[in-house]
Amino acid sequence: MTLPFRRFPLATIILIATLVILASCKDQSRKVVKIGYMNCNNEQETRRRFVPLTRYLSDKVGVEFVMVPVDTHDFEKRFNQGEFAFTHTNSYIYMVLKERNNLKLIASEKRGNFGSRSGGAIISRKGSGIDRLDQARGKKFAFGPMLAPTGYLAEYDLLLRSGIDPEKDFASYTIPSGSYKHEKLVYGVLFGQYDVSAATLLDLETMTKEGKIAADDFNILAQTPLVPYCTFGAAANADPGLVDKVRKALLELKATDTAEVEGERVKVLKAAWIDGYEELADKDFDLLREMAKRVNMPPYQKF
Amino acid sequence: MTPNMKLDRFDKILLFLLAIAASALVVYSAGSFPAKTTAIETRSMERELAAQARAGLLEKLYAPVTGAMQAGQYQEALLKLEEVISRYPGDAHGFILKGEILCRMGVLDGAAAGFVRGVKLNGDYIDKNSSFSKRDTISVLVEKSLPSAQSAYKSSRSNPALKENLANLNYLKSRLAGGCE
Amino acid sequence: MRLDRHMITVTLSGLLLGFFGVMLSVWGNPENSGICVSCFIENSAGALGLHNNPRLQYLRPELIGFVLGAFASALFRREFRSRGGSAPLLRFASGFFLIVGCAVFIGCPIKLFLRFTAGDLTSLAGVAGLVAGVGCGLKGLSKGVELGRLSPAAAPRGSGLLAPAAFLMFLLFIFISPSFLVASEKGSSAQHAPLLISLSAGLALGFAAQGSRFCITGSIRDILLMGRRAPLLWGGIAFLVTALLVNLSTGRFKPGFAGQPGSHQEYIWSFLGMGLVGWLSVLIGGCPFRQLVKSGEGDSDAALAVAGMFLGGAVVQGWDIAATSAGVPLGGKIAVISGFLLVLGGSILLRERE
Repeated sequence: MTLPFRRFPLATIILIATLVILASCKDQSRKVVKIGYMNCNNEQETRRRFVPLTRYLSDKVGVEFVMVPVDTHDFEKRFNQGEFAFTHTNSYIYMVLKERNNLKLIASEKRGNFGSRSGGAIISRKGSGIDRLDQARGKKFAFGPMLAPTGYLAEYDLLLRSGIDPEKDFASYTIPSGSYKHEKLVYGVLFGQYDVSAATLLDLETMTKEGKIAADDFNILAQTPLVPYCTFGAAANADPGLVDKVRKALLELKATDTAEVEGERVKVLKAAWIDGYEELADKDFDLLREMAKRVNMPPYQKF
Repeated sequence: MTPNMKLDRFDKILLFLLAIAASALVVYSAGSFPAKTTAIETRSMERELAAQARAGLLEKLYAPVTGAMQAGQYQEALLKLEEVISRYPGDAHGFILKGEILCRMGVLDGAAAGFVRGVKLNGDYIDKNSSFSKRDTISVLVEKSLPSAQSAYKSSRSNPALKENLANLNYLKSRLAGGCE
Repeated sequence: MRLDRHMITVTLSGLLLGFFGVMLSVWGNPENSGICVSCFIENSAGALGLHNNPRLQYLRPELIGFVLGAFASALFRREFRSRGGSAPLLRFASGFFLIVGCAVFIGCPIKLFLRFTAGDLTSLAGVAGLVAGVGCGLKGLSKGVELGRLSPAAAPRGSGLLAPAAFLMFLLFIFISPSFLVASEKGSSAQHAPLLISLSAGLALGFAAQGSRFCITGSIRDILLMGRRAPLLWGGIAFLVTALLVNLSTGRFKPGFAGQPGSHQEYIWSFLGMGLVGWLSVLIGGCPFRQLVKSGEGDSDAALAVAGMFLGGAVVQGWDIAATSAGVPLGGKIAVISGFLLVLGGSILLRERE
């Protein structure tokens, strides 16, 4: 019996070539799905942090994920326009999109001492004479960005519950301009620009670890309850199978997992500054909902 | 050697030397007892000194942390702990203190993870009679958290965070139960 | 099955082992470790300065009792014979890997069943491994794998006295406390039954086991070969039933998988560790406990295995081989695999072919 390729050498070569071409074509025809990433400080930082994660998801899920950096204040508008089906936002934006657009919860990020939760604090400079929360009355106060759950919402709620109305009881309050607002709050208190400010616990932890501040520089006048940290979500009409695959890929993500970025293998979690992902339930966000209702913020605001 | 064996001169010399060696062993062993007893006391004293030195150093290093904890300022305690940990990253005491603080703040999964890291590095923290023992705190944590961790994991077995938390609590339970470690 | 004197001594040995195995733990030994030859050897190696884990350093009187009790029994029954000379270095290495296998499981075959009778269901993997290992060893024997026969002619006269003399010296160490002898003040080695109780229990067990030839792996071997007719089966049953009853009556029976004292849930490595122990035990003629007993009755090959066990006890602690509740370290996995390489390679090379 003679082997087929001896009898039909040309046909065999064509068959093999066809298979090779088809195999390579399979990669190029991968479905393209966009993920909207909320900018924390600026687009450049967002890309640096989350491109490796996006590549990792593409590798794991078999879909071509494309990263779309989005400014926080534009996020809901662009989501409603259908620009992206998957979202990466803070927990407040998730909550708003959930209430208004039935956003599906995928997984929450873990970072720092409190894992997938974070909180806020109200701080003053040590030695400023402001050692208790009630001493903040009549002082210059600074909040974080309005759409930041642990830079604005949680602290505003904490103040109201402590009997302090920010609209009436401070000499003034402000929100720093530009980027790196969260760090500006901390430095602002340290260098006397503000008397008291909101600060996220995560920022205080990170800046202490990095040596940017010392724990003894500040008084922590009060601390908010812990609420979920940043979260991946998916549009209500996103393919449920794809959503499950993304969730699985995120939950399985380990510190040693890498992705290729511009010819270099990069550790995904390290690049993103996170410790992993956890699956939370929507009811874990109820505390945040209650805060938004008390503070009269969207999606519960009443005019 | 049998009763009927004939002992020649060489055997007798050997037996004589054996008797001398045996006597010398007895004499020297008896003679050196007091010196050896002192050496044991010295060894015990050295251990005690090392333990006390360690306790003293830990107390000094972590004083700001424990001070903040006692004042109920847990977030400040955590920040001060970060500063110490950045200088002494592998120290078991830091992990144990983190576990305690997170426990008091209600972050029970973080507390369990901290205790596990600390106990793995140094089993003194789980020993009944150790001066560093946090057995009671760990025991209460395990009792309080284990049932809910088990039911949470049962309802969502694909969640690695729940699996890890349950594994941590089971590890602490195993160490509390004892065994050869 | 005849109820003869041997049957009675075997059953009595099992009964004593089951009783003391639990009660020594009640009287102060670590949980589920009333008797654990591998743990005791690790502790004793530490006490002699062979490793520096400060939590595992105590010269266990039970070990001394096993050897000296067996020695006394052998003298009493006129069964003391200096014998040996059969593949000594292999037996030394086998003793080393016996402890490796035990350390990866966390316990010797006696502790395996003590854990089982206390409700530690993670030990089931070890039981399966031990039975499988004994089965493999028996298969090897049937195919001609043999380390050679012991012979009084091959062993110099009086050589069998060295092991009892060494353990007598250890006994003296306990009473005179030389400066090099270390005793842990914390950890599981700080947990021990009173000296006289430990020593007496060890002597009693050594005496009984020498006369009855009782051995855990030997029981499994005989059950696989002879079924219900095996006398050692009844010793095994007496051991299990007694241990279970004492555990139940002292409130130490807590069934479950997770959170058991001194156990981990890496079942594959529990299986493999005990598999290695079972296989080696068949090849060298007994489990770690049996090696101690045989060394007391003049078997210098068993004494070499015991020496290997002491080296193993030192190395598993010094080289991070021993498993803990946190799991099996990479060193432990590599060591178990190395043990299997020894067993498999030895089986090929030592096999007598027609």
